[in-house]
Amino acid sequence: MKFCFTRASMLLAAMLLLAAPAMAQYMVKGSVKDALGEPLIGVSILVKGTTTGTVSDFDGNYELNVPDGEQVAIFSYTGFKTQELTISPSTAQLDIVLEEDIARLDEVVVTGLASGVKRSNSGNAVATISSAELVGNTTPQTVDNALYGKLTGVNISANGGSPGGGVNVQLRGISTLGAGSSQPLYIIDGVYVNNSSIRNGRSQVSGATGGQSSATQDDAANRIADINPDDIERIEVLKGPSAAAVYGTRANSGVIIITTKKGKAGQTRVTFSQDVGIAQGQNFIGFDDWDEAKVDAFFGSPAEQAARQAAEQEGRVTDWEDFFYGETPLLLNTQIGVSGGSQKTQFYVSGSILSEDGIIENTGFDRYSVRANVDHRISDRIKVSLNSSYFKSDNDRGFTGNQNNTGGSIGYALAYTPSYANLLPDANGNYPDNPYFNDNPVAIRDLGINNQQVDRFISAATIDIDLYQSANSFLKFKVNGGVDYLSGNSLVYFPEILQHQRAQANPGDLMRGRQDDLNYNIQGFLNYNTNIGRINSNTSVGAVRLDQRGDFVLNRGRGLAGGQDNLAWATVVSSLEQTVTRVTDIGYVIQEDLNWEDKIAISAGIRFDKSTLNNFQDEFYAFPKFSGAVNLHNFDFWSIDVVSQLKVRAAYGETGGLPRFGVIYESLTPQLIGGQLGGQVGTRGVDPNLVPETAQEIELGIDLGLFDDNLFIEATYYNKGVNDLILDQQPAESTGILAIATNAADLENRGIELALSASPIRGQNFSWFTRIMYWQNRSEITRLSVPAFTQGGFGPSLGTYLLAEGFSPTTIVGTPAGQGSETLGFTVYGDRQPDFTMAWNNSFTIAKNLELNLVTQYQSGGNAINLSALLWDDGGTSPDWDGDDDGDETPNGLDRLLAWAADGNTGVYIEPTSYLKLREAALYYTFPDEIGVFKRLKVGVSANNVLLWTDYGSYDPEVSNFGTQSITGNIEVTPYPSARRLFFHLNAEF
Amino acid sequence: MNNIFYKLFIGVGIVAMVGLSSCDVDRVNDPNNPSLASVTADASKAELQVLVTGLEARNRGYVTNSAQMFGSFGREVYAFFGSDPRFLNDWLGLGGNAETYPDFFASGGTYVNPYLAVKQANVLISAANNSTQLTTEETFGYTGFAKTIKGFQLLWPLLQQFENGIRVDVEDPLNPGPTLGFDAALTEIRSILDEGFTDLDKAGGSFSFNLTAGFGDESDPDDVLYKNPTAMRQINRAIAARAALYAEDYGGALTALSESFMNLDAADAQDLLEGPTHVYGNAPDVNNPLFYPLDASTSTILIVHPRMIEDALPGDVRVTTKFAERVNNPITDASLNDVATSDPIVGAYQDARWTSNISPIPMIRNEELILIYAEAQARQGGDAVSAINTIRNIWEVGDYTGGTSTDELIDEILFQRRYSLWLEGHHWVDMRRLGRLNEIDTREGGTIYTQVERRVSEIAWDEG
Repeated sequence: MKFCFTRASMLLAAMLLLAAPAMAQYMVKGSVKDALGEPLIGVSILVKGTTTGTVSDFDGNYELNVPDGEQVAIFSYTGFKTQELTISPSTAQLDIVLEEDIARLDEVVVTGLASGVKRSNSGNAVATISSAELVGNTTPQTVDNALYGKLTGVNISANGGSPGGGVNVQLRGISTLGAGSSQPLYIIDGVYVNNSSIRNGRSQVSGATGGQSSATQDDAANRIADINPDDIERIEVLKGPSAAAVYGTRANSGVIIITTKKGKAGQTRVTFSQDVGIAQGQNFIGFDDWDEAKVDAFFGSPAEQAARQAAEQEGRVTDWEDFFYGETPLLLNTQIGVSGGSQKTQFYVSGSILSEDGIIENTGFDRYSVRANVDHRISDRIKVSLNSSYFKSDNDRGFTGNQNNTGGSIGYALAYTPSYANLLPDANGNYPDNPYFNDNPVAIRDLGINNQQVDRFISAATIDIDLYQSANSFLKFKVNGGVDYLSGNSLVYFPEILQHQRAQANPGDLMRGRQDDLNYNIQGFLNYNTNIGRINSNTSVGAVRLDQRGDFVLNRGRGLAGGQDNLAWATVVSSLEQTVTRVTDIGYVIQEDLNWEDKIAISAGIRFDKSTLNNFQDEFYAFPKFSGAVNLHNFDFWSIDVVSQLKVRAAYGETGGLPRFGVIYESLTPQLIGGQLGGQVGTRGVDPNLVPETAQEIELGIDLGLFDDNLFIEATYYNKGVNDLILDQQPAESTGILAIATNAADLENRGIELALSASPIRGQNFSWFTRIMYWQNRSEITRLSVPAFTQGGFGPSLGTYLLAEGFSPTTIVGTPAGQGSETLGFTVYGDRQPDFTMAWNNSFTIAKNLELNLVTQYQSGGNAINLSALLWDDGGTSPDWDGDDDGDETPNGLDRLLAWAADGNTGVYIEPTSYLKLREAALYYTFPDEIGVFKRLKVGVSANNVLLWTDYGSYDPEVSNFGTQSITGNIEVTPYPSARRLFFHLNAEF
Repeated sequence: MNNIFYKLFIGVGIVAMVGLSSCDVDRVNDPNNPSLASVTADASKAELQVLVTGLEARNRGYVTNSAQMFGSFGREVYAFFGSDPRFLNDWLGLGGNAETYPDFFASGGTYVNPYLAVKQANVLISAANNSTQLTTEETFGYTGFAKTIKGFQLLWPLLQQFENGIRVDVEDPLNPGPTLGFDAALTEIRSILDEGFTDLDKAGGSFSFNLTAGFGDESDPDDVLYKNPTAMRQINRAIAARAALYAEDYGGALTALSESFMNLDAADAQDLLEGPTHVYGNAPDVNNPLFYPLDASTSTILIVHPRMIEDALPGDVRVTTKFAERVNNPITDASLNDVATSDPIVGAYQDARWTSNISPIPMIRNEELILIYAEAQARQGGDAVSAINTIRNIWEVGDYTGGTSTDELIDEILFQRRYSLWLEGHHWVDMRRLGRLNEIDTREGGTIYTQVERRVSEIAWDEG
């Protein structure tokens, strides 16, 4: 690869020589304001057909150097309609007012790896999110959970409430059945970024290794959490293959393209923001009181009765839920950004510190980030950009969720611990044993460590060269590449003094993980743009290469010296895992975009990809795409004035999904026995005919703008089929082969996405913008060439997922068995995916300075497997345990447990997940004038996840014990409760 | 325009070159593990050694589940594993659970794990047969050992599945053989053991591979070594005797025992322990899965069923050496109560057989062979009593004084097996083969299962 970069740099040097000097100029000055008369900062002003341009400064003023003669100046600004105005040497002053563009028709969206078109000409429904939408309301912890309720067709679900992320992002239904990547591909400034979840071994230490899922129960966050959301200028979401085809073999689950902020020429701007907030656990269960009758009913033991009375007399009866989850931690977020520059060089430099404690003591998430983005124009024809960033994440996620026989989960232990249990340490700091469970959760909270630290560098470089330019056409060359280096360290530690450790042969348990990941990618593209008659043609060709190198080591030490968490102080040290990963992808792309006077726009392209993850490592797979848009309102015959835009669009595209690393190998696994190292035949077989998964999508839509686009409706229908889905075929277990990755299924996702945006009121004193979204998706397995099977969870009696032809892949089944054979005899209880989702976003501006924003989301339908409720019933802690709703003199808790156990009815613990959430609420006041050194000062209050209405019987219907999963999410085992977050904000510019 | 297209053409060429052609991508092989193909094509002795040791490792996979689940089924123990109610609820069939279900809770240990050992044995057999680097005798050494272990392992899923039967021909993962009924499968297993016996006969005087201390510790002058074909044949016959007993072929059992390592003249407890073992160690080896520190405060522990204490003969040394009282930490579980009295069933005793978490666990041992001998003799009208007395005297419960009818002798042998072979995977199986499952104590109100339901993957394979 070194060799390749050398080649690239030689090529660049050659390109630089082609650059030519510039011509004579004149200057135009002016200002840019919005309809309310507010100056617009950072408006891009470009001389059409050239690369000459500038941006407006803090007061909305600009100075534009124009090449000789009459030209057209293009004024563009995100969120406003682009204007084109003719200028000549006699135009000294040009003041303009930009109109708001609620439909964002002028925004340039991606159609190719090196090309884009205005949204109004796009054949796809491309969703974008601006910085203001992402972080303008409140302070999100991570980028992915800032996307909630802001896009159609996107279902985002947190895995739990642990600080520091852990989110499942699902674009347009199901894209893989678990073998491929279920998460969208993230690209930041052209760099393929690592969004894996790094194992930390918590599940081994806490014993939570059971279950049928391939993922561990480590509760690790996916690493997009390292990215600072405040650095982001814009996010573009390619939801399905029709839009994402240009990303080829890794794009089956969609692509999320993130562009970070750039510097703007002009006066140097310093922005500073400070957020101060608190978090609060929400939706507490309210564990049952333990009175005399309850203790009798549950334990029936005089000793327990005595223990209860003793606790009562000593005044130590405790609401343990409130005790553990009732903290109101401080949340701090400080951002500072400096941007500015000259015509030639612009920079954006930022630094941030996010520090958030969790609602459980000793948990929290800190993130530090530094960024420098520099753009420099070497000559009229050559532009280079360098974006570099460093992040550090430090995450304490504590011990919640599943465990086995260790007590290493606060939530799990709570299920079995009555209010009168004696858990608090004595004056000497000795924690009493918990007679009700394997360990004392107070000791687990105070003494256990579950920490993960990640240091990360993401750097991108881009070189744009204008090779040739004429009145009618241009040829550009663009090289873009970058590196994502991630170094992770994790520590999971249970000291030797813990109750459950003392019950083991080697007390004290320690897990240290180390991850080194390096992604580097480079792409080179030629773009040739010309006008053929009245048709504009843009041709691009290019090549792409991605390399991934990973090395993960997890070591365990047991039998620790007192208080030591260093491996050298362990009696027994073992290497639990070392996994080295090496992957290379190579692709070629060719694409053609045609535009006939903004009336009809057509795009066609094809990408050829190969990857070493494939069984056939040298085979290229083709991913074509085709799309077209017809802007009826731009035709001369159009005469309906009220309809300002009517676009009919259609798109088709194909993408791929790669097998997971390792599934093409039949290997031995090491096992030591009696001092000899043996090789055990692995349980994985290989299908010699394995090919990548391929998805193809047809997307049809209409965009309708009314009343000068003040009311805008987007309607999209898609049909996304995924073929050759890779499944772990399970041969008869008696063969000793438990899984063979094979192309065994096809599935179909059909969906509708509707969005209505409007500015019903636009006045000097009050304006209101509203956006209502509705989306739904239906998934169905249309072919399954292996026998139907169940996956995920803890086996059928505790709820699992059925994979069978004719069923949704997210169908939840359980006992009793004895039903029809198409469900393997199991009873169908529902589907993880919702029937539909709606979001309603409103923003109000009052008297220019006061802004109120609300983001609301409603999910209808969907189910989850609530095993917390099972544990609460089993431990007697469920809130209504000793009630008797059916009057049969058996307590409710026991009734449910018996219905589950004796009647084998899993349905008792499968619950609907419909909810209504007020995701974000924010109120800001901007001071009208400069105050002292502050050019602009804004204060506000906001809240995140502020209100939740649901019938789901636990903390939050968004939950996944097995982490980020394509299918087998929505399984709950006493998770970290989710929290509402309340903030005070101060934003200043000077 | 020509100029442009010329540049375009050159540019495309350069881009393509940058991206790719100058840097071909080599095939990426598994960077983490040796491939299976490397040991099955023409394996060296070093590669075969890796497979042999791997087979020893797979050979111990059944131990945990045969003790915990078979032990719960036969009410030798209660699994007080507080984290999951199913260890009691499902394994004991509480609350009217009359049947097991496909993929029954935590039952893979006596099904999937033994078949992993069978897979390993099959790979070893084919690797040895495909190797050109071995003499014929050496090859038979590998195959004889592999078939012996394979026969031993196949018994576990058969005992779990009983009348559901099992597959024996499992070499091709995508084309497995039929599911054979109990008798047919047992016949196949016995013939695999016989093949192993014949192979070992042709294997010369020594193995060309090493085994762990589980087959004899060279550093201990008193230890019996099974690390040669002759001694391995004695293990093979011990397993064959167990299989013959299950097949009710008592003559066959006695023949097999005569060629096994059985020692009817056992004089002390140590003599009864004689036999191969599964060895354990600290990580990265595996700990003895049945070891629990004595009397620790925990809600996760195997508890001796109270009837083992209640039914014990006075002075039985087995009771004092195998069971330890939990003096400070007796344990109860809210879901485990005596249905007659409604009182909690107190877990007062735990397994005391292991001195540490690296103690070896017997694979098959002399005490069982003596009891098989006694049972076969009783069935054939021979002298069972002297073998019974050998056992009784070592454990200090005096000579047998009961009746000598076959039924009375079987009663006595069953009783001795219950104490002598406690938690070694026998009692539930014994009660079933003798038709006495209904005699098992169900004070907790549970169900005694006859067998475990077929697994989902097996059903699905047959239906698909």
